[in-house]
Amino acid sequence: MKKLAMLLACFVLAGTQFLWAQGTVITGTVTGKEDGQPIPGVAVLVKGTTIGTITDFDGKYSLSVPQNAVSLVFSFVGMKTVEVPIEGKTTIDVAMESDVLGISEVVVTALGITKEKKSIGYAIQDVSGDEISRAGERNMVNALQGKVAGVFINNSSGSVASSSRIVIRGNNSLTRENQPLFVVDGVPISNTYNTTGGYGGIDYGNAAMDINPSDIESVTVLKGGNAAALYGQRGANGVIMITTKSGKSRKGLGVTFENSFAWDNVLILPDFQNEYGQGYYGEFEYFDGAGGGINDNVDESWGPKLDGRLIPQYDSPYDPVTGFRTPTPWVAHPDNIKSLFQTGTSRNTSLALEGSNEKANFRLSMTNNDAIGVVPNTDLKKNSFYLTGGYKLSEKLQVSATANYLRNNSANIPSGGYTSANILQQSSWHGRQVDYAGLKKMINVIDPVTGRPFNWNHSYHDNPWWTMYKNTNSRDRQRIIGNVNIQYFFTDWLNFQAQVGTDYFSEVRNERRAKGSNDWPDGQYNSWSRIFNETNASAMLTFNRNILTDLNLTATVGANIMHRDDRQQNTFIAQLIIPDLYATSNAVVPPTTWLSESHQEIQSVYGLINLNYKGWLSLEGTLRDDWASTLPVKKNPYSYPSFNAGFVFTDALGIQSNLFSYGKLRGGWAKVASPADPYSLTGVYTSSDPFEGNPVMNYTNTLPNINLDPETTVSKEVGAELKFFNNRVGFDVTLFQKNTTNQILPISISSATGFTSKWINAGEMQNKGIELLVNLTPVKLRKFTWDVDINYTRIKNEVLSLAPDMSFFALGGAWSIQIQARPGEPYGSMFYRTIARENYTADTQKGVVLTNSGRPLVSPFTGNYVRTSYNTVIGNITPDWLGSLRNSFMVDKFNLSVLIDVRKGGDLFSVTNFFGEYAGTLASTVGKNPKGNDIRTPVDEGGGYLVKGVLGRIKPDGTVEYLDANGNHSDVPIENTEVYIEAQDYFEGIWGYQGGRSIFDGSYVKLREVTAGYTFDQPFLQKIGIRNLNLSLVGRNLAILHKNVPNIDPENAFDAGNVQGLESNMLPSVRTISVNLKVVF
Amino acid sequence: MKKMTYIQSLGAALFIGILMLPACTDKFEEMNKDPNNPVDVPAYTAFTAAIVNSVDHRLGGGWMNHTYFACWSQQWCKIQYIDEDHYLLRTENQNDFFQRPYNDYLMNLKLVIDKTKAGGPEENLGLNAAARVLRAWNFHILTDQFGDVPYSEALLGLENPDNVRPKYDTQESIYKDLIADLKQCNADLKSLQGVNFGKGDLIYDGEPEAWRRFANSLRLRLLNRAAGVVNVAAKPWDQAEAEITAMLADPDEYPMIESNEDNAKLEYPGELPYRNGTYNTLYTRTDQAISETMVNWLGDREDLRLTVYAQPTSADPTVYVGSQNGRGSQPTIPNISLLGIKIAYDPAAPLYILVAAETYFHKAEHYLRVGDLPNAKLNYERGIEVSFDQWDLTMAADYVDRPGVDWEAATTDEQRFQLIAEQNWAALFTQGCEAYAEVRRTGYPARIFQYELEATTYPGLGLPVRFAYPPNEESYNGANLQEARVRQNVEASNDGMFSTDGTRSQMWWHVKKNPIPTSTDPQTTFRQIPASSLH
Repeated sequence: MKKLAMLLACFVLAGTQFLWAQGTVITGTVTGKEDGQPIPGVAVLVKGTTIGTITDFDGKYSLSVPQNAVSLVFSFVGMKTVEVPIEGKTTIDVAMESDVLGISEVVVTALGITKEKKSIGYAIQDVSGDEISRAGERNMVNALQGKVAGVFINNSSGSVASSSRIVIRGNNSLTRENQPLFVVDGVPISNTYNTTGGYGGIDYGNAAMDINPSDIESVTVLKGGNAAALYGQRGANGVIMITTKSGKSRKGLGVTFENSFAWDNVLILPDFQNEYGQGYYGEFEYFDGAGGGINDNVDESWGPKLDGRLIPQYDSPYDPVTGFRTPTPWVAHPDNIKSLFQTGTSRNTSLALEGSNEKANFRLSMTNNDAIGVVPNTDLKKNSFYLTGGYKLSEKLQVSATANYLRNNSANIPSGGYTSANILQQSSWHGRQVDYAGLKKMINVIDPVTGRPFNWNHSYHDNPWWTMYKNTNSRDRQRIIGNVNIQYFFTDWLNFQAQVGTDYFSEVRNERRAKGSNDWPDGQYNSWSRIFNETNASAMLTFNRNILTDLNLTATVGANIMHRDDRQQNTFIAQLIIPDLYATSNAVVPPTTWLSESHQEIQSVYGLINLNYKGWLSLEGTLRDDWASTLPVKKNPYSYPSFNAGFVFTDALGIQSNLFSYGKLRGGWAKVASPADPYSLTGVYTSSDPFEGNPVMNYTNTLPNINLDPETTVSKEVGAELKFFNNRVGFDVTLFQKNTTNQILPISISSATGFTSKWINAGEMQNKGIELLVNLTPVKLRKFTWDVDINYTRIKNEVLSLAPDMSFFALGGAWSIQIQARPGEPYGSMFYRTIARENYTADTQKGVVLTNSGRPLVSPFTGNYVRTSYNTVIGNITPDWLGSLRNSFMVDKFNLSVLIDVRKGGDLFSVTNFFGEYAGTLASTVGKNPKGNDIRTPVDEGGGYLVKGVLGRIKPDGTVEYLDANGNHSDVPIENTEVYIEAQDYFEGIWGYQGGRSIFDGSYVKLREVTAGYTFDQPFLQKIGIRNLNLSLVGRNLAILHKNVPNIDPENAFDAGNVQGLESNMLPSVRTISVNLKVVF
Repeated sequence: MKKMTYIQSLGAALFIGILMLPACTDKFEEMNKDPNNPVDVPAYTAFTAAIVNSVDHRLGGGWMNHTYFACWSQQWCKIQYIDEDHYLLRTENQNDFFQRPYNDYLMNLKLVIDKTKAGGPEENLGLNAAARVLRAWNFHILTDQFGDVPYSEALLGLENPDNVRPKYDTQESIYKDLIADLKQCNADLKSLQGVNFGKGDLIYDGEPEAWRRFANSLRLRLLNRAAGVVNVAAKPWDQAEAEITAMLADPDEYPMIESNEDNAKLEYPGELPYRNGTYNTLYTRTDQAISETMVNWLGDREDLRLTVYAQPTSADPTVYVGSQNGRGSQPTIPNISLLGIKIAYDPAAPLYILVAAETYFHKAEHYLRVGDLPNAKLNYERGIEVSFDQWDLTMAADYVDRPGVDWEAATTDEQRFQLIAEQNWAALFTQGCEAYAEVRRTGYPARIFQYELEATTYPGLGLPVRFAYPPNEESYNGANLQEARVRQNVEASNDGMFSTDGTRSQMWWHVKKNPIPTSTDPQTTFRQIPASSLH
């Protein structure tokens, strides 16, 4: 890693202007004192002049020095600066000593305050911009995966524009935002995303995906409340601080050109059966696909064996004379679902110009990203124009400004979830004989029998190609993020800074449903637009000076105003007059429209005091007061403090050892308060469409509360950073605890009150955890380095309490499975009925399951499992731990890195499995029974499914009674060996009875990222003006090395919302291979 | 003094900090006013919302009618995804059937009633009474599904935000209060002397006399339910019969819905977003059809209403074939009759809230109970005739003499009761909630209690005697719900939906012990009813 940093530094410093002067030439080699390895990129300067050079890759330098030169100064980041007198020597070799690692490591913290990392009392972690852009992810959030401890990232699906959810140190809030605040160059930006609900919908992505990865200099993750206390409420979930590149580090003009190509392929598809086709109980004959034939409305695969027998099918030749189709062979199309996908491609081109001199710096970049999804006719186009510049008006006054124009548009984003607009709904519900590839050319063909667009089914589904090309969802977001910053230095220890930053975007989404679609026979058009603007203005006065010889005081006071305006508008057309024209003029009935505005403001003052003694002891306190427009007047202002301390005990105790190179302890406590959302305080009426001119007004379902307090999160953390063996072994461990109390909840209440929910302050959720970072350099040779980075996070989340007497809080759900917050359990309990077991007991008065263990119970009457009489907790969405392991190798100019990440635990409910088994499409619905016969053969012919378990029933008192095969009482348990059930009845019977069967452990081990690169910096390249050229090959999401859920990627989710753990026919995740070229001129 | 400088600087810094203290939070209250939605609206607009939402939820697009109670009363049946017709409930529906009435239309009605009452901010006695009639209709359907429900403490969220657990009232007390209030509604509406009470009334255009008839017919429905059934000694409410007698004795004071022009119904424009909810549901998927129980009952009587209630099969347009409820497998759609065009395939078809035929059948039942057979027969036959008329059909002159219809052929009160009950069930087509209550109360049509569903979720238990309380109520109002369960003797097993002894778990008005079927319908053949036989 260090070597890589050196390389980078080398590129950067190589731009230093060379001033040649007559004199002697001094040459030499710079090496590291500890390992004797050459150090490239060391700045070599003639003292008191601007004459200098840098060492090459072999640590060598050659410098022409003037006659009057006295000494050379060698400096390098992370090394102690060395000054060597010339004294007439022509060869000067230097062995540089590493500074205690971290001493000069400067990080950007809250409010853009830069600090030495060693003086910080809380956990903070950096990811370089290079690592972000190299991953080649269209969504920068994904590029952080596996690289930061304590951070949980979930990419929802393989859709070309899908969202990614990021949570730091676990969920704080039961119902409100749990994702961190995104800050770009000190300006908070929106990471808005849409939640699609338990049945899925269209995932339009998260707004932070707009940020162009190649403009990122670094990403700093502020994890705890301490780090974020100065951002107020929105920092309660941590902060992702993005610093963009500037021209500062480059003297003169530099040009960087980057180009990459990427190929996406579907990573996983369900495992289908290929033995039985469409139909019911072995029978099928097509007539009109809507019940006119034999089971031809059925979209399930319980039909006849796919043995080539002749059956009239949807694609059999139609005889206009008889009006019937001529039977054709009944055969499987094993790759039919696969044929719906293609190889997605992505091209990213970026050009940047940058440069600086003593007074000014600038950087201008343009990036174009053009991606085509694995689902045909889906795409994502991103364009970014970025300009930043700074100017030193005087020694005391500096100004800088940044403007970033971003455009993110897709002509079509695929629908997800349980709707016929999602082509993958058909992965569960279809006939295995359907030839999807063949349907592609039938989009514009009208079926002679139904007069509707040609398809294999006319009851529930559209031709998936019709869906892809005709039922589209477009999105176009144009965005400007910018800031203006003025700094005035009264003296070198007092400065004033003012900044105004804004994030403005407009977004349009158009959802088109073609006339003739199965669920939208008249067509439909929904056009939604939004204008969002958040402006932050802040002013800050900072005092920074040694008040005693060894005691430094930093004090800052500041104020901030955050103002947010949000305007959304929607036009809905329920029926089209003519096909394919999506316009208000083409509406059968007047379009429905609505307009919604929201405004809010938070005004704040804050202060920070930091005392630093000798660089090894740092004490810091902050205090912030907020006035929020969304709270009752009398609840304003609310204030919250934070404290932290850092203690470098190796320095304090004077430990100077190569064995134990560095040791630091740190600790912090912080409180962050967060107010209600706008308009939570009063009840209103909302309107529906007028009924023949009569206004229709409904009163709100949420009981308002004029006494809402802010929600508060108190976080505590202690940590240690330890480095051994000359920093070749490093540990950074943090123990943390966060408690969020006074949660602002729209708690569900008995609707008999007239309301379904009520805003209250109640409940407490706790996250306790450990984060561990381990950095190892097992091998470090002259031309070979092996680095190992390990991140590990274990979070124990627990809902400590809800409102008094409240047994759970429903977060969402689907198909009768509820995702709940339940006291005493981690966030996201899954609640539903499951298979009853022989040691089942229930409290019938309270309606709760007390115990449920042992062998499953089978009913001798139905032959199927017995279900529990009540809902019970059958899973939890919160993972136990996350980990990642990265091995990086550098062999001369070649580098290779392999990242593996692991999630342990975290259950999910898979609708793909749930309905894939109901509909008989999955491979798990075929096979042999214990008699050796096909389970799909009727029971009376020796087939059928033997449900394994013990015969019994649940008595009305909630206890189990053993039964025999005739349904009579049995004193002893009898294993079921006789009661067979039709396979279709078994698998369909699971539905509504044992949703628990489709809940799986979401653990996985993934080969997340492999990168291989080579840097060319040969002299001949430099002669043609190319400073260096880097070629790399990157593979993302290459393989799921281990998982426990069949048929899907356990990472799949609907969207970036709080309710995770539900999967419903999501587009499969993709494997990406990319080739990247970077040329620096 | 150099150090003073530091302190002075710090002082200066703090001073600037104080200067920057926000001083403009006074606009916050204005900023936090919802710019999109009104905090108050004219009462009639909320009344319109209550009508639109309740009628659709009870009778149209809400699943109550088309997926549950029209099927459970075997007027309709499910032909694809038959789960609910096997008495398997969806949790979402359990919650929705209980919740939505309260938080949606009953809450809207409460706001209307509070605003328009005497001395209220928008005093309007006509609108007030109309809202109370609609409230009574909705509350009785709610209690007919769940039994005891919150009533006296219900809908008080705004007045008493701290009581989020309203107690349950007995079904008996709710019925009695509704019956009393409907009487008062009649008086209040009478006092308007026919003066129209204004906008927003999609049912009767603000006509107080029409609302009077609706109020009194609805009151008759509730009283009839409270008065018991023939051959059962136990009466839910002894006084009910006398109240009916008093109403029928004074038709000027208690006008009722006597012709189809007076029917309470909601006419749909037929264009989105306001189309008949059944149409909307069946527009894209054919999940419902007419029940074989209904087809065969009508076929037995060569009843012309079958031509309206259903369509001939598409395989053979000369016959009608029903599909039996709760089958284990799906029927082949071309071989069975779908619901009639006017019922389910006309976007502008009205939804019926209360129809004239029902009023006659209740009167007939009353006269039967009090032993006035001539009046019983008169009203019975008039009810049938009016039911035909409702669908623009003319009852054949010989219809009342046909087997299964002929009053004179009935020799016992039980047989006469069956005639009335089954005709009422047939006339209530499209009103599944009401039909399900009447089926439970009367024990007719007999076939429902004769055969068990082929694929019932609860073998050996017959027809559910109640809908299951919602899990949400268990969670948010558990103690009160538990108290109500115990009070009603609701069985703990089988989701509390059945009565294993024929009396437990039942509604307050359900005093009759219905048989639990011991055999499954043999269903050897699908019976074809020739269209030509209907006249």
